[in-house]
Amino acid sequence: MTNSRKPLSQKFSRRRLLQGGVAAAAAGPMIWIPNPVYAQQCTGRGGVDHILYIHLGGGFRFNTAFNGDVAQEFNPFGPSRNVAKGTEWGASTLLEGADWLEGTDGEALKALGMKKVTDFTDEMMVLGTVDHEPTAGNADGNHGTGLERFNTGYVAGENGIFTMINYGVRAKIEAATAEGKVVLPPFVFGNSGMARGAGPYAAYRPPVISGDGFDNFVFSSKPLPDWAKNMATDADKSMAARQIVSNRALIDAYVGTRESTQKFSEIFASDLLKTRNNSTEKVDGISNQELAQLFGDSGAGRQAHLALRLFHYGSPAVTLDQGGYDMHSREDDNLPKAMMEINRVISGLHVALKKMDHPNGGKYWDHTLVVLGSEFGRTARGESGFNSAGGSDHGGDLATRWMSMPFMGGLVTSTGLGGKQFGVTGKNDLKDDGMVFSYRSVMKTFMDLLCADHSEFFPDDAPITGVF
Amino acid sequence: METKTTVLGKAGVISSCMMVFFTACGTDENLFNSEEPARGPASMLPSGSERVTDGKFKGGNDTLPNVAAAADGSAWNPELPIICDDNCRKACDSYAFENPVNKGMCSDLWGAGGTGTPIVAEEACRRLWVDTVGRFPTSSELDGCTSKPWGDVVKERIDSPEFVRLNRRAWADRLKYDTESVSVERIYDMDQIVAAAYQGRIPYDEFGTLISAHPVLTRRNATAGDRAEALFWTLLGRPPFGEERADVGRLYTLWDNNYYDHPQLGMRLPDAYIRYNCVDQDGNVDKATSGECTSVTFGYEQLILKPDARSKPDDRDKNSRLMWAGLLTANEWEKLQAPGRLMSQQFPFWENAVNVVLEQYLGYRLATSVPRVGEELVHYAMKYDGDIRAVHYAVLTSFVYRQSAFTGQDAKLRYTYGPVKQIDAEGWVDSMDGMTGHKLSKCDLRLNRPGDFLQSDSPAAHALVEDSEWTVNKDGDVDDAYKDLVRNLGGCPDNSQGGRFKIVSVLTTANQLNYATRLCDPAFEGDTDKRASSDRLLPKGVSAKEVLSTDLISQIYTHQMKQFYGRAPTADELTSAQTNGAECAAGRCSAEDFARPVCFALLSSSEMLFY
Repeated sequence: MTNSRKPLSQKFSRRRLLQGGVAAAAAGPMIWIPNPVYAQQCTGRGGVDHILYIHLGGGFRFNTAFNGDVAQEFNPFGPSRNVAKGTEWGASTLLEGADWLEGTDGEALKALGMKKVTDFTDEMMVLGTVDHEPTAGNADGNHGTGLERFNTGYVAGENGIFTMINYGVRAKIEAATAEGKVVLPPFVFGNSGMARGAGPYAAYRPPVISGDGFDNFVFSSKPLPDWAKNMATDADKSMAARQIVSNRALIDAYVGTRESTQKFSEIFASDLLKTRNNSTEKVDGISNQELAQLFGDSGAGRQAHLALRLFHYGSPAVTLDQGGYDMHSREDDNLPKAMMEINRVISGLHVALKKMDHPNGGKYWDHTLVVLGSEFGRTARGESGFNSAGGSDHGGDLATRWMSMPFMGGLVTSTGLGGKQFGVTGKNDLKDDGMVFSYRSVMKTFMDLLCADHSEFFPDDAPITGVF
Repeated sequence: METKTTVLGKAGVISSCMMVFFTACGTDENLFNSEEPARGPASMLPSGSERVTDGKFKGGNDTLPNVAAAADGSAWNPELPIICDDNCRKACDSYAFENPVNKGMCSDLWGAGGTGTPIVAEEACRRLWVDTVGRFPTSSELDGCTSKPWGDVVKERIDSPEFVRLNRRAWADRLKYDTESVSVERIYDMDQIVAAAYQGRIPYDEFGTLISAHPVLTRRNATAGDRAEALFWTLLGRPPFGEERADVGRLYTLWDNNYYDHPQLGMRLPDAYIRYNCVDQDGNVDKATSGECTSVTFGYEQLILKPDARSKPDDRDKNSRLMWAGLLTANEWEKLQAPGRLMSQQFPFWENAVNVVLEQYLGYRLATSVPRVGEELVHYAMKYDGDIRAVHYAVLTSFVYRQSAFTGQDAKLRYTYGPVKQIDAEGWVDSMDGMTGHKLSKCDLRLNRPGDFLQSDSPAAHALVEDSEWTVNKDGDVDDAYKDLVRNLGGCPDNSQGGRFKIVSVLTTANQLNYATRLCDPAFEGDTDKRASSDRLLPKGVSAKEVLSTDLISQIYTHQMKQFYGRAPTADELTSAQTNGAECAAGRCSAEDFARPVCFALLSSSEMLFY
């Protein structure tokens, strides 16, 4: 397959479209203008309080899940015929996978409201043609550079999107701190790419957590006597006093985090963050036991559970890794199995968010956006839809290029976007319909929706308007 | 396999496999050794005890000048530009420095009347240990260090396997080893090449040459331009200008990113292939397109390989032929290494090489503020035939490195006081473990995704993990305890998404406090099996139950200061210990009741984080 793309003169200018987002397709180019109502409070438009960004690791074959109404070579598993009414995007049969709904345990989950993903595809929206670099001649199907773009927007980008978000919400956090409140920052579970930060942004690198709990972050549940605390303080004071004056900032920074740790330690030690404690105490209208039941025991499930509890403490965003989708071989067997896990996470979130009462009123569903992304799509050649090893690869073509990203949450349903797809591809050639979204615009949209200051990032890419 | 000698570059002499047509050099597809799975140019390296130099570098024991006697100290004013006048030059000539850093520094320090900060032996040893062993020294190691001439101590460290291991780790970070992007065999291969450079088996320009066409670089990057850019960053420490990127990229058009179904591992590995560009359908050089494989930035260089029976049609483009890089011959590897060979003959290559070493040990690029240091170091490296160990030796034995960082005063010029750096996450954890007798497993950066290999049905893939530095538990899973702890602190990077980071944040600090609490158990509420035994926290002969006295407070505090910080407490610190200890004693404390909080106070202090 070749990566044929129409000359810009024959269709919408991709660059203009990026600046105008979806509305541009209908009404011509748009320049992003801050919403004046929200602008009084923040530089973005707001709309959500939390984003859960799930990274489908290894390069995800989007056509087998979220853009599935395409030829067999792109989606050998076929499109689902059992999608929720009103679904316009191409849900694949792999989204029907729900072995966790089987048996006695499955009946219990059904009783809690868990469904196959295809049963609520009308509550999800898909941007079908998200692209790292819409003006580039080819897709970036390379793990290293694709991931760098995914994490930072650029190859060798210095700042990860979660650092940008943390920087963008600094005013909110400072205001809360001034009022004596403790608000948690964004969190990165797993790898640190989204938490890179350099120069003035280095101080806003969000915490990176390996694992799914805070056991390693709680340093004492029993207070030490004052003399023992003094001894620790004196050790740092002595270190600072011996330093060259200009180096004391290093020690001061450490001492500062020690003091902050005291503030956070109560949260880290709270039962609410002990996602395996099987507690039946309901917080925000749901117990840890119920959440654990919904999400199961997978790593991603436990982290999704924890993410919801971090949102309780004001964290604006959490990202986690799920899967290992770099299936160059045996994808035919393994992808359906791997999808069971993410399907359960999506379904669990669908139930939990609608059930949970948000501290600011309404349900978490109304305040939260769940987004799935990956560093690139995947490609297989030939009619079978798999390579010679039963897997798929990633190159420079359109199958690798398009990241068909699903969005789920109250913002989607309340704006009538549930079931819609923006950016449609040709069934047999995956050619775009003229609507292409820069991935940086998607990231900037995250910041915009969170009311995070994004004025210093991605100057050539505007948040997507007209969608939300 | 029979070998012959090939000469690469002015300093590079290596032996390589006899080119055997149709046979991969140094490899045998039918054999897979899980202990030595490397596949690639490392098989062409000299395997014996031959070294570029004998490793006896000069300049390790320079006599430092008595500035007060040699120069007019009143001339020293760091607020003004430092000008080295005739007197300054005469003074510097008279010092007869052999160390190139000292020599380069003279006109900006001693010659101009400056002194820097006096050397404190224990402090310098502690710094050296972190930088060359990867952890803080034990008290017996410190005693050994302070009793020997500094040059001898540094030589011992550079000759040690720990020095090589730390530099292997540094290059794993720089090249971002990731088995998702690059074949594990190639990563092991590059690791061996790095080891060869830091054991002094190959000169540094040859090292650069080998990197330039190694699949860890070519396979990780998507396009010819990206590869050229990665090369500029790696060998010159800067991005290429636009025209450089395009031009040097022409020497990377032959590389293709593809996959290799490994017969023993039972896995499809990402690997490098050769795409036969710039040839016509008969395999001859195509004059019409040969310019696309020709670079002129560092001199005219055309890189075209001719296909033969080893190649096969590309299923994506029937007009193009591909060959798995595992079939490359020594002669072909050598041709492909043209970008690095050209670049390593440039002065900026060596400037970057010495800058990297200066930054590694000083934490800043001294040669930027004092260019003469860079020049002297480059000449020193040349004098030792490009043996990179010489540069490490020169920096580690320099006054700038050895001087104390602790004056409590202010200083205008960075080089007038010693380096202060944050210890790596691994170094912090390893030090804590070593000091308290705790033991965790390790990470193996060559195999950043051990789980992928354990999921394979192949016994060879399992053996690969078993033979790596990972610990596999009785259930057949990788022991993640160390990795999880260290990764939270920024080390043991999974290079797929982000590399190593050093940061002081609420969560890293909380993690450190948690770990110090676990090891010291200051509140006596932890797992007694996992905490440090009281024997380690108390001076010899002191019983855990002994009633705390004024004398015992001093003994315990001094013992732990020596144990953890490698130094005696200051008078102020002892006074503080006595004040706090008295409160403990008033509550009928035992020796252990006092020793555990002291352990926590010292191990959780910033002195364990910055060195």
